[in-house]
Amino acid sequence: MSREHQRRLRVFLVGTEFFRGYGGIQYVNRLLVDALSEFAVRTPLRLDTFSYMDGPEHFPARMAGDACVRWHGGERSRRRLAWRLAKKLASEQPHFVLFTHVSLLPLVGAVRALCPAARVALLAHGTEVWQPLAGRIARCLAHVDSLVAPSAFTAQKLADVQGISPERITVIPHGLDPDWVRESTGISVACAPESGSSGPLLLSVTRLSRADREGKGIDLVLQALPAVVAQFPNLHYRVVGGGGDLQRLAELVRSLGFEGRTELPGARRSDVLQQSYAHADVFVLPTQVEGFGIVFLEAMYHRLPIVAVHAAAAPEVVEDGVTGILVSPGRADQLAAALIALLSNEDRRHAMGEAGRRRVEQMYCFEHFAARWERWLVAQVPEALYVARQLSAFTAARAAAGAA
Amino acid sequence: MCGICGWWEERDAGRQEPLNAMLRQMIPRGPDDEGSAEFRPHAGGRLRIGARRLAIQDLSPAGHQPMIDPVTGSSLVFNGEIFNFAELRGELVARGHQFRSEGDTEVILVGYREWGEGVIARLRGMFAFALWDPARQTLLIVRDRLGIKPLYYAALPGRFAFASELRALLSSGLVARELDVTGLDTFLKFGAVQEPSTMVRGVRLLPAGCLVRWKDSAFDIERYWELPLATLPLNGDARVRSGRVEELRAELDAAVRMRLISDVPLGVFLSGGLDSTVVAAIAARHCTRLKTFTVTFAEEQFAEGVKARQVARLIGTEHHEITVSQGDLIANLPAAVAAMDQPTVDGINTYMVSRVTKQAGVTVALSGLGGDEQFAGYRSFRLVPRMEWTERAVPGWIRRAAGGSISQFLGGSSRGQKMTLWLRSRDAFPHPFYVSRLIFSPDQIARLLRPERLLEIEFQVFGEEFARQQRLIARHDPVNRVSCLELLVYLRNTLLRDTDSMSMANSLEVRVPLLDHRVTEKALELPGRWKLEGRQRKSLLVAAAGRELPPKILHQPKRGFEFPWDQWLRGELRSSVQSALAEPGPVLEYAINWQEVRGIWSAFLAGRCHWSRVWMFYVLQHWAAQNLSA
Repeated sequence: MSREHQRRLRVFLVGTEFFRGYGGIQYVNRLLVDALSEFAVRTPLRLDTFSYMDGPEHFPARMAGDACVRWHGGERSRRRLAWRLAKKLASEQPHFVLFTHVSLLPLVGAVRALCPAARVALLAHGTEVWQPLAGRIARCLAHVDSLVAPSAFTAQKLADVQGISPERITVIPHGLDPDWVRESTGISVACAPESGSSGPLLLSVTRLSRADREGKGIDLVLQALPAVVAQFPNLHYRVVGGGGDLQRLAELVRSLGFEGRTELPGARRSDVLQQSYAHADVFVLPTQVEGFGIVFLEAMYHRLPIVAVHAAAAPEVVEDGVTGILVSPGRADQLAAALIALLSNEDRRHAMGEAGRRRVEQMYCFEHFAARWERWLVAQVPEALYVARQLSAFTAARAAAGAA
Repeated sequence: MCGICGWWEERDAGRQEPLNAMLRQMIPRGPDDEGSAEFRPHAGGRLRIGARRLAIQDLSPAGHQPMIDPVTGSSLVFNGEIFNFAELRGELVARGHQFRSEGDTEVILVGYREWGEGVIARLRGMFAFALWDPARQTLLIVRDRLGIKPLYYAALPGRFAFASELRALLSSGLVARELDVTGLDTFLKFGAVQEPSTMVRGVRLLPAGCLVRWKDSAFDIERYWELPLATLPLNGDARVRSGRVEELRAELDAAVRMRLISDVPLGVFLSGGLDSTVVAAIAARHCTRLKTFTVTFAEEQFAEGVKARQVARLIGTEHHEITVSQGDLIANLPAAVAAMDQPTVDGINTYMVSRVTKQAGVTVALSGLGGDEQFAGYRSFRLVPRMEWTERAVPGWIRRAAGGSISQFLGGSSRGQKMTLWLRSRDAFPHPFYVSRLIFSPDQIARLLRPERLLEIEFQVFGEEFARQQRLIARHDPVNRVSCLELLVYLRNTLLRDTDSMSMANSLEVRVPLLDHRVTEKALELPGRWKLEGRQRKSLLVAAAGRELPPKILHQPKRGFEFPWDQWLRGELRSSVQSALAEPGPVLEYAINWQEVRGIWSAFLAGRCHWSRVWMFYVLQHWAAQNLSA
């Protein structure tokens, strides 16, 4: 290890996937890399990122020349990932190792064996830690020094279900991707909606996986739809998202006779998705399985009032009566009433939309996300950070003096 | 001796109160007179300068400040003493200048008229002054070479203020009473805030040997003097050596002699130690009825009276012993802590000695301060060169491994922690000297400070100072390297600052002849090995100035002037310290993880922690409560 490298705060980020896919976990992983990269500009930090799924072709070109960030791909091989991680643990002796998925926890043993002084942490996302973990992973969890959850709900699950003491857990909410925010400013409502419809538009955005069929609540929206259509005959409903459950939902829509007013376009590129947000009147997602709910943030940023349920992390993100309406889980009648109430009152929709936008700008922008992670990281390794900053300043001053 | 201050505000509505508040705060520094003046710079706004005066030379009203040059209109406020003023005055008179007063202040003003900024290089003394030159529209602020007299400044948008005391700036209301985390960090490292940082955000201490030029609402800082950059390559030739030692002797003699000029009662602090003995012995040669003072303690274990009495008898001074009891000392502790301009781990003894000396009727006292630093009186002069050698000779991985073993062997003791820090992290500091002076290690400070404050520390401020210090010592020998660093770090930021604030709190002027810059230049040019010869401590100082003294006095072991803090903190002071450390107060709550401080107190009570670490937080807590706002 070079002297220059030795002087830095060394952080390892170990995740399943960063740049290959587009789910919530990848979204947060990318955000985390960006946040730590920004931190590295202001503080002497070296970030080594280890990914199970990503290959070299997935890493973004913009980070290729970044001296503070290095990439190590596992290329879908756990053994390759473990070997690369072990080599780097032994040679680099990081101060801090953060696993961004619970399934990678078996690698904690390598950290403890090769780098005993390192502090180890886990980022939990949501449902993956809501149920008791398998024996081996549960045992590995005991060797983790601290945990991060995106919501108080998930933090509570970690405490109740996994038996983690609350003082080891920190809640750091997710934030919006700054690229997505920049992109949203170019979206114009003048663009024609995908369907070309002119009536009120309800929007849901979610991954349509078979496993989450019940939890995401799209079926419940379809159940509530007849009552809403009775009041608003021109109503359209669009569900953006791909997954294994898409076919079944399409058949359900046909069987209910809503094929004319319900669209299931599948997954869409970010710019197309933003147009959907821009044209929608209400965002509806009665999900019970959100560890946080980034789509709520996206909808709120587009000034959409939200209809969701009192379940999981939704009440932490959506402020009931202010930025949206929360109903009881599984109650189609309440869901329909909430949708009708919003669709029939433009002023209320507007007020909630504005409140949602304000809430995102005040709490959930990338700057907030990065600052929270920064504070947390500093609290995890204050000694290493202090020494790294001091050494860096001394070295810079000495170099400047030498040059002079 | 005085307190000076000044203030420029771009959008000035004619407020007098900030300047008046600063002057009020500095009454103990100058109880004899007060004055102020106002100017309207072409840049806009108003500039006000003011001074409080402790009359030492020319007690007449002619010495009033601000002093205005009738020829150029330049105005001066001045704190300190110019000891070669008579010589400069003669030179200026020879060039046709006239004087209206008898003191040293006018010499600066007339000297500036004649030589411009060149006058600074001719001044020999301890000083901080501000001079408004209406012709150049420049405010010139200068601090002495070694940092004997302080000068704080705050440069804010549309506003510039300066004063001899940090607390004077705070009392003006011109700067916010906010904690500076960078200053706090250096306080935790070394027990005293390191210049240019201060404990208050936005306020800086002008580095010693520097000047500020303020003009057109902007300012720049320039260094006009630096310590010698190299030890002379002298061989062991006896004649060369004898000649060099004689030169040093002459400078020491001149430095003491010119510091005996005073129009008020003057004495010499005589502890019985080598430095004060040398100063008193030289002074006695130039003064027929020299008064010497020793503060002795009723308690046998830290009484110094006998040695001082022997010295006084030998050199023939009128000796006075002032006896204080432990009860007196403890009763005066709150006043001593309240007198600190910035928190410091040291300084209480200086306050006590200054107080009783002033009460004995003395206004000017000579001290042997600076002898240990320039003539190798500390243990660090033997220890640090060994540490340097080890760093060069022993590979890093062996040092790191040894650090672990030593850490276990020495347990959690302070010495063990320092050894471990040095052995394991060679790069933590650019030179092992800094580790030898550490009170808290970087690891410990990182735990003591709140995580969110860690990112607020501006390490580059201190980093630049470190880099300058490394450049300075690069061409010195190992002993003189330590000398330079002791002067730049410990003496300047702890001893001199404490001496100024604690003596001034008692309206006493302390003069430090061993820190005359010519003595310093000579002492640092001569080879370090001349200072550590044989068993004689400070062999160079003895060779130069102590040859007439009997061996009995020369060979006395070094004895620190220390109070029994450990005993006091466990006994008489325990309840007050315990209650002070129970809660941080809103200011320190913001910056410090107080749970760690409580842990330090517990460790001290269990005998696992040096008293200085506890005392630091007691002082810090009091100082923050008095001077800062949440």
